[in-house]
Amino acid sequence: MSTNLSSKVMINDVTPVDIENGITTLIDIMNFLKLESNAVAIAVNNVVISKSSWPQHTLCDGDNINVFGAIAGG
Amino acid sequence: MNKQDLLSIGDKTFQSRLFTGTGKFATSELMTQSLAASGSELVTMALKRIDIAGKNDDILKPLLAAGMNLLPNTSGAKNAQDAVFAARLTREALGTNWVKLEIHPDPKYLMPDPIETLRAAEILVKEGFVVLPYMHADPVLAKRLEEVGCAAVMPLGSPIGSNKGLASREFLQIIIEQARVPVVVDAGIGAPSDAALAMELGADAVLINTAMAVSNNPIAMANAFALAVTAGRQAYLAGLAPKAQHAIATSPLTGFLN
Repeated sequence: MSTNLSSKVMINDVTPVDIENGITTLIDIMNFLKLESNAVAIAVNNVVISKSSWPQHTLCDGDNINVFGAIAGG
Repeated sequence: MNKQDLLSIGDKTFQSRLFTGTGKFATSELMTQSLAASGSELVTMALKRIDIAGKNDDILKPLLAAGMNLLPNTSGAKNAQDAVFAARLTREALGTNWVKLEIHPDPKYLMPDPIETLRAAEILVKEGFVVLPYMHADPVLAKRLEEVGCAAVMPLGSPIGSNKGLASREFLQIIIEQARVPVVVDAGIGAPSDAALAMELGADAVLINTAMAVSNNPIAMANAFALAVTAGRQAYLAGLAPKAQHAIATSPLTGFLN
């Protein structure tokens, strides 16, 4: 019987990402998603993480990551 | 317009008293051109979870290129907790501590929740935000929001996007009379004449989106709003002549042969 030991985080409720050697912090997630960091905000488990903390913010199994961007509005 | 007549809110000063929204324009180009025609220096925008797989329009680049100040809103927030979370996100995403606080749990009329708005305003001011709350035209609430440190108040004219004008006129007048912070009439302004009226009443600025964006010619309409806001402001500064119950002749009433 095989066991899946990999840790995963979920992005915007739709995109699961394995946490592995190359992807361990929030900045890795941004690079993985090929997103520019300007005009973007990230919340991990509903807590806003400042851009300056992205390189140090280590991901944990089951983290719920939400990535937000600006849209038109009144 | 008189160059000395500047509007100060928080840490910023504006020459234009016409603030604009960025929603509902058919294209990004039309939005950029309309905002340029409006002369607006402050534009609202919203925040949303991005579509990881799809395409996300870059609304920000043209606005920043045009030198606009950004006023992100908390649209979508249904209570104070949501709004505080949204404001923290906008500060992080857009690098501004300005926020248009809007909490409207009811999707039909989008009426702002006064209790949650006051609650959120108090928290956000303490966190260093420049808070401009969208609110009903309630003079008591306006004072309460002022007292907790809001940089301005944004009472509605009528429901968002309804184009019904200043249904709240009598109460706007009381708010304007009592306010010690700038009053920005937001929501429901459907025609340049509504904007001019708001300015004649003494509003410090107006915020327009739908009436401009969904016009057949948004660029021309933006210009019309700019003219109306300037006219209304000048009329307010000049001082409107008093109304009277009876006619008061503008020419001598003695017979011209006397």
